[in-house]
Amino acid sequence: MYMQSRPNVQVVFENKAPDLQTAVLAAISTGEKFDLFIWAHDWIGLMVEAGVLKSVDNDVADVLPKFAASIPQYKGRVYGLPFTAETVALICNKKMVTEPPKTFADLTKIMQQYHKPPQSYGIAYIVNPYFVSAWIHGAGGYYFDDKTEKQGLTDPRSIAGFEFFKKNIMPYVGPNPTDYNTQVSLFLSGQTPCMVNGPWSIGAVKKAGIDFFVAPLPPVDSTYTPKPYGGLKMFYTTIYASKEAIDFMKWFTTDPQAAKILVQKLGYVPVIKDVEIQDPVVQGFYEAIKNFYLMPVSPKMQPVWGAVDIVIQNAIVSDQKTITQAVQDAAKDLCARGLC
Amino acid sequence: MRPPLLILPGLLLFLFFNLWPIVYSIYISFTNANIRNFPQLPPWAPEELKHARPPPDFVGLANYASIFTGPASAGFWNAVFWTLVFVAMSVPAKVALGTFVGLLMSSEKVLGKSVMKALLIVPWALPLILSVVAWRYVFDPTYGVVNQMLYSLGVSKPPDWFVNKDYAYAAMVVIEAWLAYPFIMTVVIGALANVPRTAFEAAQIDGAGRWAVFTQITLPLIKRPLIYASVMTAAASLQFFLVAFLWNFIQLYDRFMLAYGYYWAFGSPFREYGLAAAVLSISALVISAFMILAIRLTGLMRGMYES
Amino acid sequence: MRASLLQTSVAVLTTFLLFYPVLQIVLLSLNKLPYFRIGGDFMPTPESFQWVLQQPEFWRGLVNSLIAAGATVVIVIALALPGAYAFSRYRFKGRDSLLSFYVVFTQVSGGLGIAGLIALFAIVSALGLRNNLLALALIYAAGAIPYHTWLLKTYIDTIPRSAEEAALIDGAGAATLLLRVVLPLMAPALAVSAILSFIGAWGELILANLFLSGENRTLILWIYSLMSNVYSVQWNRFAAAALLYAIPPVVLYIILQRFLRKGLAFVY
Repeated sequence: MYMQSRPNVQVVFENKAPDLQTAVLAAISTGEKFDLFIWAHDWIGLMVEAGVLKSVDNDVADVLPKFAASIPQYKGRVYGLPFTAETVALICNKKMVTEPPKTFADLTKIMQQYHKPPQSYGIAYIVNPYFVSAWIHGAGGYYFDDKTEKQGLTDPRSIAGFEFFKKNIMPYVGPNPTDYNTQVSLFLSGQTPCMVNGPWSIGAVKKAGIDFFVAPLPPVDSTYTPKPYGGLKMFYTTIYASKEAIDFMKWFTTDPQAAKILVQKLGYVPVIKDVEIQDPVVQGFYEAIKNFYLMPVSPKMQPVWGAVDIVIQNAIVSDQKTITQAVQDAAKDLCARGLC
Repeated sequence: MRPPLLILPGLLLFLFFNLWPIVYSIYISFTNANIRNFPQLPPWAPEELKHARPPPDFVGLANYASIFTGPASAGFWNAVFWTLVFVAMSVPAKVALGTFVGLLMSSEKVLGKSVMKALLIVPWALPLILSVVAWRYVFDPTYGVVNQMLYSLGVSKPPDWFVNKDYAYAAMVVIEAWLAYPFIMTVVIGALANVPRTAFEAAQIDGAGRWAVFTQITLPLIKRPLIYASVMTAAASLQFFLVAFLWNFIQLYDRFMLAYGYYWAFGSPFREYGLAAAVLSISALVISAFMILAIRLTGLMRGMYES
Repeated sequence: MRASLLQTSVAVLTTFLLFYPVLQIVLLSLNKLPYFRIGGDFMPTPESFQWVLQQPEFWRGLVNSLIAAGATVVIVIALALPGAYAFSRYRFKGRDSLLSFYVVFTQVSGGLGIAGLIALFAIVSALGLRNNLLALALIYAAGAIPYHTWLLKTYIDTIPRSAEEAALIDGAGAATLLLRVVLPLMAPALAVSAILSFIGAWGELILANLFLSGENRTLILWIYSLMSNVYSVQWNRFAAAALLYAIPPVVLYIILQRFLRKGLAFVY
């Protein structure tokens, strides 16, 4: 569509799976000139430090008001524009759950009802740092503070969040909790009433022919609302980005026609104002996004993911350590890298 | 005929593409290279960008010091220890399994060898990711055949071969043995095929029992090829990394030398390439030392310089 | 030839146990459902294989892999053979140390590390050889030179010099000597080198991913991308593709075994 309106501009897409990050980083030193790349916003810090990105504050100032979400920034500057927001929500099979659970107690009832191993399990939940974050944030804790750039695992509220998850959700999770594909398969084959996942999984759900709804993770009580990590998928402007590329990015992210296609065809939750959302699935994620907790942009977050993963594996998925012990060991490791 | 001329093309090609990157890596290990200053921008990049991004500083032995005495040291030595344990466990397993299968496949008393050999060679030929996927199913904590069997044997809570550190480590030994046995098997089959039948026949005429034949005739004849194969496969164990990375990196990274280096580089806020290069250089030294020692001890170089 | 039931049974059982993990993959590739059965039924269908064979990326990747691997073989043999001959037949200054260097290096060259990778990337880009299958083959061949030079050298050691001496007396030049006299005698060793270098190039993933784009990507990269789909992996298709991809190496390894039996005592 864009190319039709501007006949002398060519937009070429290249898929660099499986390792986009290395490809991008290796390309700067050799001048492989590509203008933009797409990823969730959390790479901003790393990419800026790596000298890959060009700030575009002035170039995009004119379209900024069109956005409903806050534009990802690093150290006060803008390095690209987002076109969708994503986070995890509760995706439930309508045959097993008639309406979205309003409170966590409702969800627990559902999980208990269906937890009859090995035929069925209470919930499909991928137990890794990203998916579990909702319960830590909701309890007032945090993995990492973007402003102070310090870890928060040893904060008693974070520990409380981990404990909550272990006590109230872990017992109902299907087997192989750390394996993404296993959990998704459990839900797709009807062995769990719900799964916690993001918009990227909807394609597979539809293909499996499941009639489903999407709802935000239900609150425990008035003080404890789960706030899952969320990302803004965006275009990053590299140092080689041409004016044409930046124009393309501005158009893609703010043009109402383009937004409509994104919403309808790909089920993306829009981040600009005044977009109609008719699809209930998109609506469901939209509601979930209202509670999301933006992923940190600082490169110092990198080691934290691994540290939390160790905590989860050692103290929640298995009992090799207690939560307090695991968290303290993780903090020690992170302190050695300067995050305390 | 100028012999050096014959060697030169190959040597030059090798040096060009291999030596320079390695020398460069070693150089990097003496700098504070991380994502903020490495890699550099191309020479024709705009000046302001280049100024914002100064090249890495030379820090001498700082990286090596931090590996031996700094915050990374406890982990590094732990990784070296466990890597050596891995070698000690996996090499006998590989060699025993490969020899056993090799002997079976050389026995005249076994039918259908061609089909079996074709099936047995497969682990060597499969792409590594596929092998890992295959073993994931085998070791699946709930549906995998290993735990299913343990369960039916009365083990009420079969281990989790992914999340539990020690069991994951054990799984690595098993998988490595599976990946490497075809190599040993091939060597053994080849060696045995070259054993003259006359030796066996003479032994049988002399009335030697099967075990005696095996220890006095078979073993000595395949000893040298087996030693060669063992050395090669031990070096592979020292460098074991990819499978652990694909299996459960977070539990296994501190048990393998190369994995540990990778972890410190890419698990740091700014991707400490200098530190990772130092770990890799040390690992390369360890492996070279091992190779040289093994070759000396086993006398593999005997006959190397003859022609 | 008295076949033993006991030994044959042991052999069959062992083969089954060792092949079992692969068997699971074979079953996976034939399964209708994209994920491994979580207590589900097994519904055999060749759909996955059909799907794979219908993908243009599969064929393109196949051709690219063949080109890269084939070129690697040619380059390796073209460069290693003369060197091997020189090491075997001549004594010259630095011969022993260079040979030791080659031997030790066959094992250590593995861990290039990210810095080495970037250095390599820089060289290749500076030469404008990125995204070039033949350039990739050159890089593969370069890394294989030490091992194959040593391998071929030890084989040449076992060839009696009489043929060469006769040719030299007849006034043969270097090229004739190598091509007409030595080469024909080297068939088994060359086969081994060819097979090993082919398989090495066939399966290489890291460098191929870094250097190749779009139309030039080799088959292994496409297969890996089937597994890296963030959305939902179609395991049955991945398994089918990976099994098809594994056929050439398996066949080659079987052939290799045949050569290793033909009196390749030189390896030891």
